[in-house]
Amino acid sequence: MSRAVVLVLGRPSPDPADVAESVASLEAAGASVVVLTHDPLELDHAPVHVLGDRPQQRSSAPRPVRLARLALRIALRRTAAATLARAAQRDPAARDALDSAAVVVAGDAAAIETVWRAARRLPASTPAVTGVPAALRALRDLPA
Amino acid sequence: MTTRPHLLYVAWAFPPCRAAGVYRALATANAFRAAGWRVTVLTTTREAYERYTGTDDSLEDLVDPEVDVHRVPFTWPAQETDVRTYSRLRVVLPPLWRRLRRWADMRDFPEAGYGPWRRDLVRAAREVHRTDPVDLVISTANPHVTFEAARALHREHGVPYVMDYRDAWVLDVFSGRRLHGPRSRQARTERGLVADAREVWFVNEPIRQWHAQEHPGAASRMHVVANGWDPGLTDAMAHAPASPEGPEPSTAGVRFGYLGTVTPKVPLSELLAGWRAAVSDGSVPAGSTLEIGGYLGYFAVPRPEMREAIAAAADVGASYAGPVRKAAVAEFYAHVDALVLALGAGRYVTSGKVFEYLSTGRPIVSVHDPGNAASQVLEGYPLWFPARSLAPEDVAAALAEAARAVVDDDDASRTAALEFAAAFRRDRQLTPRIAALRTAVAR
Repeated sequence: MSRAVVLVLGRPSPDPADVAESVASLEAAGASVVVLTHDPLELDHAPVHVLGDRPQQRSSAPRPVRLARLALRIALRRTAAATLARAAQRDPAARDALDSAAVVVAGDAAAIETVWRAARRLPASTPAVTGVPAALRALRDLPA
Repeated sequence: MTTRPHLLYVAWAFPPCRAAGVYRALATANAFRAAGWRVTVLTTTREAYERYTGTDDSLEDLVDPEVDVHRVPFTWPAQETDVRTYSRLRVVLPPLWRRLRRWADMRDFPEAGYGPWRRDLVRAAREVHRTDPVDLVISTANPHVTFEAARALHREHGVPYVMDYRDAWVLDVFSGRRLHGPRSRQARTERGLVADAREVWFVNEPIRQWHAQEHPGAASRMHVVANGWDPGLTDAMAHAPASPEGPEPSTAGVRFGYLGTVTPKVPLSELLAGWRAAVSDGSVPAGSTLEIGGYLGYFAVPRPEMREAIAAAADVGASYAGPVRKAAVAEFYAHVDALVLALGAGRYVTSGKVFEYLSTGRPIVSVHDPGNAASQVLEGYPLWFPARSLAPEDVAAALAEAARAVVDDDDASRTAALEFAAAFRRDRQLTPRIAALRTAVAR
């Protein structure tokens, strides 16, 4: 049985050391890992597939209204998450990786939408989870 | 009241939960049962532990078979990891969903995540009391929502209750700062609960003192019930076979051991630097080893930087034994000559490990801030060797003193150490409180 895991990252500039730790954890559980991300990332082992450019974020929000700043921040996050999700659907290699995954895992909150959309077309038996600990549990529970 | 009073014990974490607080809960329920009480436990389900904390099935065998366990279902939406169960709102606007979820959590009780458990828990407590009247309720935090079951039976039926804090609610035990302001909903709720409590228990004196100042009117009802060590541990050590999970016996040198989760707060690099200094300058005998057992980080998979740090000290005899199962803890202790207690800073923090270490009667090297609450526990232990600071030379000096104690193998010191440790048996922490409460409910 395939133990391919797709780890989706949506946050800006993910820390390579953190990602390497997540990948090492999954590999130690017998998984082969593919990383999907917006931002280029150097990893020793796992292949990294970059899904186009992240939408540009403004360096500062309009000052006077806190609510407007919050709305802007949410909107930017929303745009980034949606862009990643759309790119993952359109990109043939990413789509193939997701479709053949044994487990799909969102490595951060910004990646949830991508995993959620992918899960809608994957078999219900394919775990779609958030966080590496949940992915490790899902791997443990996969049929041998 | 019958001659055998009925205790309702409320704890979210109870076997087979493997969270740290489960040992105190298990010991408390069993101790009251052993003292002749009828004990009913209100807790949550195995499914909840499997989803959120992990389980240790061996712990279920340790529950006294006459303890009646009632399980109240619990869900924790914010911790749900199955993305398929997420609503569109949660997927599309996670920050908004989190705010709404937090508001919903806090509506019934001011505790994120656990607040919604209040209704089911109170309903279950009422049902227990209806079928078999309760004489005393002990609620164990955290979560603090368990106190609500106690308060409900107190308000409706006058049942006295005990609040057992493992940590604290409005105090951050690591930083010493307040987590919630005096006028916060949490602080107001705590004031009401403490005012009506028969007793309030804390795990160490610094936390008790802080709360006594916070609630001066209740200070006389506040007690320290330290965690202590389980008597079964010493029996298991006496009969421990050579184990692949314990350090290998060596013919030369002193075998030092550290057992416990190495969190990022544990001064691992300082310990290893001190160890290297001690080995390099001959402060410890040639051939001495330092074996580190337990999880490296919070996950089952070791944190690479911690593992690498230990591996980098392999040339001076340091090694990593991996996680040690609960059943193998006694074997680990039985096969080391001295123990190293490396802890994060915090005057309110007492590690449960300090009590286990005491039970061994072995030399203990403290590698932590001298202000840590563990120092108060160890003060007076005849084989205690605290490092004056976390500087390598001070850690090395403490290791050297402990090594000398091992080599000297002074029977009188060992006997005195075991006598000192006896006061910290877990059942001895509970005995005075059980006696006092028995008298109180008999009135």
